[in-house]
Amino acid sequence: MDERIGIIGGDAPRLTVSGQPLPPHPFPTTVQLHNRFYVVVDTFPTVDVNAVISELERTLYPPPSVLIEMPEDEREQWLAQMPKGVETEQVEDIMDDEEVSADDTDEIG
Amino acid sequence: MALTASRGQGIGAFFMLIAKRNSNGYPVGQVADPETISNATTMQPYLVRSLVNFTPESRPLAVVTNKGGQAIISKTVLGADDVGEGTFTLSEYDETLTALIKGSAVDVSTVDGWAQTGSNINQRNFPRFFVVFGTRFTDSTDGSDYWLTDIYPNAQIYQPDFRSISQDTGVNPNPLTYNLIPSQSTKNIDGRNMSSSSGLTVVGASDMRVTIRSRYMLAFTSFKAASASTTYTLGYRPVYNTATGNADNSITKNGSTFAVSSVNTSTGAVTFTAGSDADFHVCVYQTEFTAI
Repeated sequence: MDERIGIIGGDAPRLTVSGQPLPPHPFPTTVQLHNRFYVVVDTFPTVDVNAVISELERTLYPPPSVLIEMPEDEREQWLAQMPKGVETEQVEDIMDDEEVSADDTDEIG
Repeated sequence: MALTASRGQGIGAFFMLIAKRNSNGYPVGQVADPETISNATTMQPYLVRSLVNFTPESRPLAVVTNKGGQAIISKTVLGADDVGEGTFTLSEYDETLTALIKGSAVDVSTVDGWAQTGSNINQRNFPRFFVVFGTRFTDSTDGSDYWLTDIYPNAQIYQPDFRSISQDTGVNPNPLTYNLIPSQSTKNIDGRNMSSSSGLTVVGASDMRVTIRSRYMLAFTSFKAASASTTYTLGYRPVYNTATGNADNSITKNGSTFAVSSVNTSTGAVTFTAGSDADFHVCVYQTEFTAI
């Protein structure tokens, strides 16, 4: 996992969003990612904070191969919070195809 | 436990907390831009432990004298005619505080191994802050100790004189003095609106300084939620786990008392039922500033 990402209730990140050493506790500004992870935002950031957070958030999304194997409700939760793009469309296409083929099977059976 | 009105003496200058104030009147910690905050952001104030003293602003009153027949017939006080500037002194040069009040930055990235701060002589926009001063209070009616917290919900700060150097020895040979310019606010530090008919009962439902007496020191944490958010973490361990929102700890959401599911005195976690994107939570809690 990226050194700028920490686990809520677990290990802290090693670096701030700007890639600097962490400030003393309590961290002045933190942003939660998916309710499970967080990043520490610099008081005086040197990067586009929102852009970096979006990029870091993206690394936490499960890849399509993992999403497809997930229980449906968990997969739907992930898809709901992931930005629409190639990966989500790929998963939705595969799931649609599977639903169609399952319907076909039912009809044959 | 509910307190009753009392009297006593304030003693000592113990701590100062400072947090930026956004245009909605909420404390927003040390965020770079108070008006652009991502959802799911937790914000802590900046704790200053090098407070030496604080002198509040003066408030000259407008007074009209009725003088006739070689006698003072009456005098009438009309109210505040002006508001002066408060001053506070710190024993330490604090780079973070300096950059916060100057709307500048501590530059640690241009040259690795340096921390640079400018005087920002051309500064025209002075950020607005919540500024909190903490002092002990000995209650003379029951002999017990409390804390008095003086809160400025809308203040600007400037540094009239820069850090000096000298050959002096002894205690604090080179203190730093700052000026505090208070303004009125319709919101208190807990996120609630002030009222002219209940609670604080201040004229115009607005004020520039509020004093709170409590058993322990007060600190605060703000959280701008995402719709899926169910927790945020306080900056220090709270003394009380009271979760009702209006006892021991003040907990609000969008300016109204908000009962949460729990307040953990070890981890500082505040857990609650999920709400909406951009809900604004503020928890003002009693603490001994024990790190989490």
